[in-house]
Amino acid sequence: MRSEDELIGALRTAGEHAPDGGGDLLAGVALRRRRRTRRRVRVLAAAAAVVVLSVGIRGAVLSGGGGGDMATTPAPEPPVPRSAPVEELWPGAVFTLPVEAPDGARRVPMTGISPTEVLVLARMPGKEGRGRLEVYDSAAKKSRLVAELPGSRQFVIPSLAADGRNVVWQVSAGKSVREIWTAPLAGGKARLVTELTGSRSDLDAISVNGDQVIWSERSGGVWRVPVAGGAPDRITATDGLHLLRWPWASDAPAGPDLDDRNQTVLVDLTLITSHEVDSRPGAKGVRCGPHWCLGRGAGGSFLQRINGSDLRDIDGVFGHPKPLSMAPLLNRFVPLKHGVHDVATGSTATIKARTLALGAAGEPSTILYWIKKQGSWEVLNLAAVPSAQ
Amino acid sequence: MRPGDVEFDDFVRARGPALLRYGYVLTGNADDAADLVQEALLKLSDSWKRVRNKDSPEAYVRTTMARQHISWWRRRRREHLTDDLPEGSYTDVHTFGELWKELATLPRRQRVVLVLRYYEDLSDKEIAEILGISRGTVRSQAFHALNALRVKPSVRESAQQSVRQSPGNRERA
Repeated sequence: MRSEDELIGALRTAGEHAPDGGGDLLAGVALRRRRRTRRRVRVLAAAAAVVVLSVGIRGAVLSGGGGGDMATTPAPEPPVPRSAPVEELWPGAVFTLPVEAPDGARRVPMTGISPTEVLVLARMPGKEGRGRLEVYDSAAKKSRLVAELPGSRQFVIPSLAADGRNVVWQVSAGKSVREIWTAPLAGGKARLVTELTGSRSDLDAISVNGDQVIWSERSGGVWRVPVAGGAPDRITATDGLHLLRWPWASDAPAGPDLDDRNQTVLVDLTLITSHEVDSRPGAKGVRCGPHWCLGRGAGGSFLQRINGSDLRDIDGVFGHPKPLSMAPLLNRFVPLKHGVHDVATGSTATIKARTLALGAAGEPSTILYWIKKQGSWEVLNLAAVPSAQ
Repeated sequence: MRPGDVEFDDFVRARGPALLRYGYVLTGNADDAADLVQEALLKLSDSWKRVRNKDSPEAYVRTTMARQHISWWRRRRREHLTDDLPEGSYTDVHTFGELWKELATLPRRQRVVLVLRYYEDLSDKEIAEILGISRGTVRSQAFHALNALRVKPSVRESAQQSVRQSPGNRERA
């Protein structure tokens, strides 16, 4: 049994970690007021006697209104830069994954590990503790087992990472206790790497690189431990840093999140060299990978190089109620509400789906998925998109 | 912004972050929290003069948020769920432990009762007034919610529960 104090603690902690965005509140209220005025105008317009009046008001309101409103005439979504449906543009990168495994387990794609392989979490419905990691090979259309998850522990969803050899993930082993587990990608038994407790247990990113597991804490600071096990060791000069994808770190979390914080440096942890990010004034949620940054400005989302050059606007970036803060994936791809923009070629793959999901991994995922037909995921493996050259 | 609303703006700037935190604890996600706070602030701005003079604007907003979350919010929630995407997709970026996750599985009204009792630190009587339900309903909602979360109620609460549940003891209460 838990105590009431634990419940109070959980609520307080969540409250303290609530994403900020307070600066937008007044604007949000103003927008709502305009929307409501418009709805009222629509009611008025229904009565023919006041048509003339309503046209006058509507004209005035529309000129001051924002996008995406429930207006008298439904305002269309901001136009998505149109190129081609994803199946046409990148036919080799999209595949279908049956949601249900032969034994009834439900699969969720997590992240890509090669152009033809995707890591998949498969769990038995109703027994969320029981599950396994699989690799789905999109060329052979087959799954193979990587490892069974340790039964008594709860898998922490956004916590999976892999390099060419190993996969690592987190499980929750009680209040403020996290464990890092590993298994060989080729298949084998899951093994405990290390246990983290108390303030050490709140991770925001994890990577594996050869014989090291690397992660960062939500409050900042990057740690590592040998895959073989041992005592974690804090990497020097990483105060306040968050892991992006090994070896890169940032002074803002990797995201995706709704935080307005701007990244101001990109640090290479192998050399502890850093690059300053040059953002334009007023920018919010700027996050950068080794090449490109994505951020929000007064005029909408934009892309830029780390040094501020090559600035371009981009419409319809993924996220609700505002575009999510995150660096382009694989230095190249920006998820949109209705597709993916390829920064390298300037083209856009459109995706027709009610909802698009980004793989949930411990480092930025390289897959997107959606439902096209009942019972199966359509998966876009970004690692399978041909290079721009 | 309408002229003469400087005070309202000040209130939003000063109390906005705290209200967003409260909204986040109520709803469990940032998008819904922002919507809930904005909607409640819109209502507050309509009756700002009255509320400012008579009541506490903050209490007014918090009450509005709790009520609204239970009522029309339901509609929105369904839209989210019909997409049938598994947990762990992009909206689920925060995990504060198992208890926080399990809170998301509670019926909305039970969650609101817990938040008011344990986050807002209100008495069952105050909760009953805010939500417009009886004190008994508050207690039973809290009881079921704590049970589902496997939280042991404090001695005072369990005493009240046992009294309430055995009719023979009613006189003693």
